[in-house]
Amino acid sequence: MSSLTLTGISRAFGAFEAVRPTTLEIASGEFFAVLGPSGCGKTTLLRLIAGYEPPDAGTIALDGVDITKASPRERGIGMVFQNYALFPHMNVFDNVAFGLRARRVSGSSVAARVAAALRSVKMEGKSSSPVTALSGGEQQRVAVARALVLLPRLLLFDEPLSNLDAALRVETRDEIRELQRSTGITTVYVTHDQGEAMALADRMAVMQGGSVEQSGTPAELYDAPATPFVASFLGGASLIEGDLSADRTFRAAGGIALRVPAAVRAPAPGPVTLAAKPEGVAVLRGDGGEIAATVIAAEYTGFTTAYRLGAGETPLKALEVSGAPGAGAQPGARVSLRLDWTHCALYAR
Amino acid sequence: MSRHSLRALLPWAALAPVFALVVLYPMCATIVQSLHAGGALSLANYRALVDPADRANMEAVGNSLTVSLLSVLLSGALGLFLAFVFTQFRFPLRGVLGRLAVLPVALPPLVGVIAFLFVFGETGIIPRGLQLLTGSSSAMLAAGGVSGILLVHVYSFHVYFYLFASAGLRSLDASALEAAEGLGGGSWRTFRSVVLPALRPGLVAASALTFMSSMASFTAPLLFAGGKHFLTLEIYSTKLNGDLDLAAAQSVLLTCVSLLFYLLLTLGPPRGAAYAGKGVRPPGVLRTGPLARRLMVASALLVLALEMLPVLAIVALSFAREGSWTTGWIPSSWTGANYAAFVEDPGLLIPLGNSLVMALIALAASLLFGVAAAALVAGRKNRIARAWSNILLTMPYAVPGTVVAVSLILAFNRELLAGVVPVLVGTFWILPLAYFVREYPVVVRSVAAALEGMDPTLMEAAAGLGAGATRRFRFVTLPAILPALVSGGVLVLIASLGEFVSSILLYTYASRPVSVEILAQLRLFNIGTASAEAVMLMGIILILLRVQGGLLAYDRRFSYVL
Repeated sequence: MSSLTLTGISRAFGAFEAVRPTTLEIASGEFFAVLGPSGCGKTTLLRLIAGYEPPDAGTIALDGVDITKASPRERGIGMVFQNYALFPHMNVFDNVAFGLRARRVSGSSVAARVAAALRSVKMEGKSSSPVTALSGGEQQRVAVARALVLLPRLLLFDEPLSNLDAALRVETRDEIRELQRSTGITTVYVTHDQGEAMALADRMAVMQGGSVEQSGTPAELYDAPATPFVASFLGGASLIEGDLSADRTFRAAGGIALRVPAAVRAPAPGPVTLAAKPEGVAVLRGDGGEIAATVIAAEYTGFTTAYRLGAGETPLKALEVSGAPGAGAQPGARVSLRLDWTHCALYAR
Repeated sequence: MSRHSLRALLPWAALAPVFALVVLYPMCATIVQSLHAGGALSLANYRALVDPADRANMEAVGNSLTVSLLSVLLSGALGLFLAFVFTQFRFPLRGVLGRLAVLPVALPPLVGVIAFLFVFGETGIIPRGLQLLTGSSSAMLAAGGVSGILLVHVYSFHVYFYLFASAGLRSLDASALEAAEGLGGGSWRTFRSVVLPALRPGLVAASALTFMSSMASFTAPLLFAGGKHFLTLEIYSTKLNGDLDLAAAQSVLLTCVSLLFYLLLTLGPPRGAAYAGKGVRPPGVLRTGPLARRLMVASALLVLALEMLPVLAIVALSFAREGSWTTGWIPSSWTGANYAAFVEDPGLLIPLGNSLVMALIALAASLLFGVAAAALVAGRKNRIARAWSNILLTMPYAVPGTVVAVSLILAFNRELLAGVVPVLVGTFWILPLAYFVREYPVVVRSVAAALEGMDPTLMEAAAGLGAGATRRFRFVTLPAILPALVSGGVLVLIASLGEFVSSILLYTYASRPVSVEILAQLRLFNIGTASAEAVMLMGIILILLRVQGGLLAYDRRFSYVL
């Protein structure tokens, strides 16, 4: 178990700044998720930690020891690749044993440790199967076992579930969490799936354009997003650009004019962005709301119904618990919206 | 300079001297020689090439170009037709026959031409058989002269079209065909507007390859041309007449044409369109009427039978008693003596042994040099730098065998570097050297393709798991390139074993290869002995092909080579 400290680390490819100067502190034994859309720099960040890319600036320290200049083999970090990177010409056992043999561990010890690692990922029966004969989920387990068997100080996952189907993804996700808890290995987990990140992580960071927008526990990030991007990426919030006047009225296109309650923390008057999470937008069938809108689409998914709405030109999303059959508003219906400010926030632009 | 960039330069430093000595220097020596006439700097040789008064040269250029162009057209038509039949229709034994169809290209050039001569030549089995049947006074349908050369070319080179077109047809998207038919296109329209465009990149490559090979073709003109002039033949006879200056100029001209088509081949449109879709999909099949289908299958099988005939004939003729094939359509007397002679007099096996030894030397050199060169090519991150370093390092692939021989003569007929490199012409070593220069590019191409196809995360995973450079090469890289290495190596062996075009200009009597010996026996009218030697050569090649995974591997071979 080790703590990881990134200090002002950055990496550019030509003119493209993949990772802007980034500082992160990951505690020993922590499950840390890095969440962001594709191209946000999260995989590059992971490759910097693993040593596959040299940073342009900054330092990486493991347990306070600077490893910025160390080669991947010297770092003692385990990595599970997105495509698993299993050696196709070897069977399951040889794949898992590869790292032990490279470290010249004795034969009997190799056999015992490989067997234990395969047991921990429930693959003990497949030891002599060629990896090419395994299903995606099984290959994923072998990749985890191959990293685990070396008892790494740090375990890195690069979107390990993206090649699995939906049902298997949830199952494997739970197993990874279980395995991390039981081994206590500090883990950095990169994903673009916010559900995955929130379900797995003790703490997480949301990245965009090469920078960390916010880091903290999943609840902190969800409940108090520091930026509109975090609110929309993590909470699916609608972002509405408008102006805040001195008398705390928010005005935006589509005839939107909202009184901001005194309890809501608001930025200084001027141009602002309103982030409204879908669950904070109530769809009223009458005129009782604050914003007049039209239903563009209604997605009935059983327990909940999701709406795409238009207040004039301004698009909005809303989510409600489905009522009695047929109670949902139909596309084209004129409705009015009311905001629940505990799920909304204002950001200076 | 950092440690890293120094290490990146290391392969260059190891390769550069070899490459400079055996590839670049002979080419330069040839160009320099071509610019000299009687010891003085002059353009006289090139003027002679375009001199309208010198009919031989003009005719040679004209004949080479015409025959090459016709070879492309006819090979294309035949190869495309066979590919169409073998991918689109189902009939018994389709799989086996489809693989047999690539046999002609596996034959050593000399063996192929001789076998063809035995069956279709003026005194061949079929023309004489027809003559007997019809009671005509002369042989019928005999292939000879330009038509003979053309037929031999089509016989060998249609396989390129067959392979490329079958690969293209097999990867046809059924939904695209169905869409075309659903939109109201008939079979012919669908073929023209959907199928042909999909095949175009492969056809361009096959055309370039066929044109290159036809221009470089030496054996067919040598045995069929009669009095006609061809560029390769002209180089050969000019060299035999001792006019090395003119031979050099002719070589430069021929090489320029070849290189042009090599560039077209390597820089042409990318082949093998990727199919985007899910799951197992049915191959696309064009709708055809039952009568047309039967007709096409029948004619394809007839073509295939004609293709097999020369091979069968040469096997049969290896049992002909010497001197018994005079006026009959087949020999009148049969015997096993031609083979028994090899047991009784092991001295007869010397040429075959020479070929084996020299091919193995060429193989070892090709593997060493080829892997290093491939690592260099695949190591280029930039796509254009990679393409050009590939072209540079595999350039000899485009140089006709006759030119390789002439350039090696010009380069190594004197001591070099104050005696560090001795005179090689007239020694044993000149032939393995020629085989190496001609064949190593196959290894570069196959291994470079395998390296480029490797998943880069495998190396990262291995490094992350603690493996050093040696362990990574031994346990990750080597297993990944091994199929390409074996495949490329077997091709080097096969081509070197049967090599004739360079050998005929370079061999010494003591180290004469089996191909030269076969021709010598043929010239003595020892048809049985020549055939028996050819059969043994084919036998070794077939065994090698089995090692490589059977004739099927030829499909893969061409995806590597091209």
